[in-house]
Amino acid sequence: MELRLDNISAGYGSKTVLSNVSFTVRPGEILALLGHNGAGKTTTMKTVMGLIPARSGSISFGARKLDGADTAARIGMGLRLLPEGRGIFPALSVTENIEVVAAVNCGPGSTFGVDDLYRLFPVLDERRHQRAGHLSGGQQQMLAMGLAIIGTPHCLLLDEPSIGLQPNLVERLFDQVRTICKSKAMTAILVEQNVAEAIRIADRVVIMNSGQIVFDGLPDEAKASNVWQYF
Amino acid sequence: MDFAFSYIVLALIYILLGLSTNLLVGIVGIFSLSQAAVFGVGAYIVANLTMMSAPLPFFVALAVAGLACLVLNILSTLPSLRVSGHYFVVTSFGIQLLASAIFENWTAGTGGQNGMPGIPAPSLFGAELYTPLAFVSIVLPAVALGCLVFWLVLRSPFGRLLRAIREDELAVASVGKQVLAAKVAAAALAGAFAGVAGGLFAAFMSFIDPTSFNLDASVLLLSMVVIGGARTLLGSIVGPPIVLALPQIITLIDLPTTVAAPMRQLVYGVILIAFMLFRSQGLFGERL
Amino acid sequence: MSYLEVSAVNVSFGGLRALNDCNFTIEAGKITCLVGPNGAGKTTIFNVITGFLRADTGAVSFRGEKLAGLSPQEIVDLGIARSFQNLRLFSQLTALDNVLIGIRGQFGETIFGAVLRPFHTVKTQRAERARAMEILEHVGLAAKAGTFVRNLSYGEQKLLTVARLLATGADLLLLDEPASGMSADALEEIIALLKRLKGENKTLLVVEHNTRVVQRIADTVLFLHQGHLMAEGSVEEITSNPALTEIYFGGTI
Ligand SMILES: Nc1ncnc2c1ncn2[C@@H]1O[C@H](COP(=O)(O)OP(=O)(O)OP(=O)(O)O)[C@@H](O)[C@H]1O
Ligand SMILES: Nc1ncnc2c1ncn2[C@@H]1O[C@H](COP(=O)(O)OP(=O)(O)OP(=O)(O)O)[C@@H](O)[C@H]1O
Ligand SMILES: [Mg+2]
Ligand SMILES: [Mg+2]
Repeated sequence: MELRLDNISAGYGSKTVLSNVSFTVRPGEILALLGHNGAGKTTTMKTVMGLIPARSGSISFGARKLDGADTAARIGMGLRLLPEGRGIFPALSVTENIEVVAAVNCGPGSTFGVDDLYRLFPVLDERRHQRAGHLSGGQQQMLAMGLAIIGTPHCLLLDEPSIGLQPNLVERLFDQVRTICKSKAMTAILVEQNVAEAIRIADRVVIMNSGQIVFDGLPDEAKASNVWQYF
Repeated sequence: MDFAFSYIVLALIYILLGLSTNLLVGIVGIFSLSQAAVFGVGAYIVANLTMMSAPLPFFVALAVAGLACLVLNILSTLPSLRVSGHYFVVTSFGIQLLASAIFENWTAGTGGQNGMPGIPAPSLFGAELYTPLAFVSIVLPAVALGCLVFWLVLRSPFGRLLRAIREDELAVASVGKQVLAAKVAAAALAGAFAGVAGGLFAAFMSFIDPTSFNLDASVLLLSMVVIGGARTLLGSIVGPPIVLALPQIITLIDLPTTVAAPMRQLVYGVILIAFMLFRSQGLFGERL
Repeated sequence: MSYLEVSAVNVSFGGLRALNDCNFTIEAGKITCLVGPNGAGKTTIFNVITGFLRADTGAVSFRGEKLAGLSPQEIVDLGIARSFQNLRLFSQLTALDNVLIGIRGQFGETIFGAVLRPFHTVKTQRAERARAMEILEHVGLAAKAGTFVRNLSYGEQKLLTVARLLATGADLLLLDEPASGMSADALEEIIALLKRLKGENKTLLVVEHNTRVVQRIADTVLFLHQGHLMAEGSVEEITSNPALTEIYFGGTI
């Protein structure tokens, strides 16, 4: 489904971080949201998920407006966030983590189930009974990524998924995300500092600087443009 | 008038005790349910030392109580250096029960359930301080000194270290700081405060019994800290007077005598719950 | 005598061998990068070196001195400090206070100093704060000195972990993924900072998955695989080794 942000402003307390952010992600499209540390990428993701309120503007998902909906309702509509840091339950085992999330997200007929997850990250299969908090940093990131993607949401928001992952795994993971997007018409926003990898799989690139959009275009246009001054 | 001054003296004593609890629970994050026991030990020490056949002067007894509780508090918080977080609540619950059992049954040292009557009033420059107003003259300086020390600790590098320890001991250890030493020092200071508060309490009340030093008292103390506000001086000063006054304020609500007592208890409970729901950081504090 | 020597270290978690006869040495004044797949044991060896974890067998020695049995504090006293992969900042303190926690030997950090000599404490704190500010400037965070950590962006928090580490004044710095999540400009700053530190006679052991960063900073690369040192050499030697490309690098280089 199409995700559209219209003139979104948001911030924390008296501080405004985002001003007039607008962009659209079409079904099956991966949008790479890039920018400087502190540019407002995570804030954008939080606003889309309803974790912080938009101060003005509106967000729509498919035919529906998200403006009044709380985070739980947005998740119910099929939006999903891989949070910055690690979104896992450290005191639960690997399988328990996966079961808890799969129970909610894997309905009948849903794709990318538990088996697919273990196939993508075989080490999680080996460590089914290990406490998630005792996994290595990268293994925890794999688990977090697995929890975000399992059951295939309609719209997947990934906040720096490559952090802590070994290079060849990043490639494999990103390929997998692209495959799912294309085959299931999943919408995705990919926030990344690994710009080369992000651009490789992205359909469109949006670049943010100090809370504003300074570029919105195709990957090739981005490569050719002078927007890299913002990094 | 005397009633008002009695309230003020008691409130001041509880402020000192609250500072001790705030230091331990609020700042270092050692969630102790046994601070009333330490308070009690301070009280019984002063009672005994000033009622011996060759009684010690009040201020000497008070110093002994402070020192003894300093050591005692280190010992009773030592488990928290090994058992972490929530587990220490259970440990300190055990310590409190143990102390209560001793207070109630060691007749020779505490008078048991009957308590200890006739604790002499302290004298200052030869004058005995019988009236609450006179008593203010020794409690106020003690509490002021306690507040000053608390404030100095709070804003010093030592206080910063304690705050950091509360958040993540491992990270503190990783930059080479002595976690253990800092926790022991804080526990010692909290013990001394509680012991002195206990001694002042015994001398002021002239009668003490175990009900002032039981689990209920420990919990009451925690509610003073939470309602006033953790980790701030202002919170520690404001909390105890309010919590002490609350039962009195509730008596102002006009109720038929048959239901008055349970209703007041109910209102009291509701106020505490409402506080935690709508203002969990207390009046002037930070979130625990 | 090597600067740091890890010899025959073994660590098991239950049936899992996290470190398996792990051997390597580090030279003083160099930047050594420790790379290897997820779960190879990189963070575990950091934990062993810094006293957070006891090795089942084997030994670590620093400037010829055995570290076995020393506490994390004692190891920092000797001059080794580390950062954490998951940051472990004090989120309820400001950026400046986080750095100040790292500065050692401050007056007023004991209860006696704080209470008995408050004026001296205040006076010396002025100097300590200035030092902490300098360190924040060093990593480009001076503007955020008064901001609470929980209100910093991820990249800012990463820089702050380096600042706190620098504040310890340790000679051997162990950094667990300092560059991940950093945008290009901050990455340049981090790279420049690490090189500058090397110039200031620090020795660095850096875990890093970002190959481009490794290429730019490493004097030597150690490749750890399944708890064992699998290869050691210059960046070119490691990155051109087809076996390592297969299990680790993929097509990125
Ligand atoms: N909870 C908060 N309260 C106040 N300010 C905040 C808060 N979270 C973030 N900020 C500030 O808002 C700005 C944008 O932060 P945000 O986390 O969105 O950046 P980002 O683009 O995700 O950066 P990074 O790449 O470092 O993760 C930063 O200047 C940050 O300091
Ligand atoms: N406390 C623990 N209990 C059980 N297993 C553990 C524990 N800590 C680490 N492990 C396991 O030991 C292995 C080595 O972990 P370590 O954290 O050292 O990996 P790493 O090389 O740092 O990986 P990454 O690049 O993902 O951070 C991993 O397989 C991990 O799951
Ligand atoms: Mg971010
Ligand atoms: Mg690691």
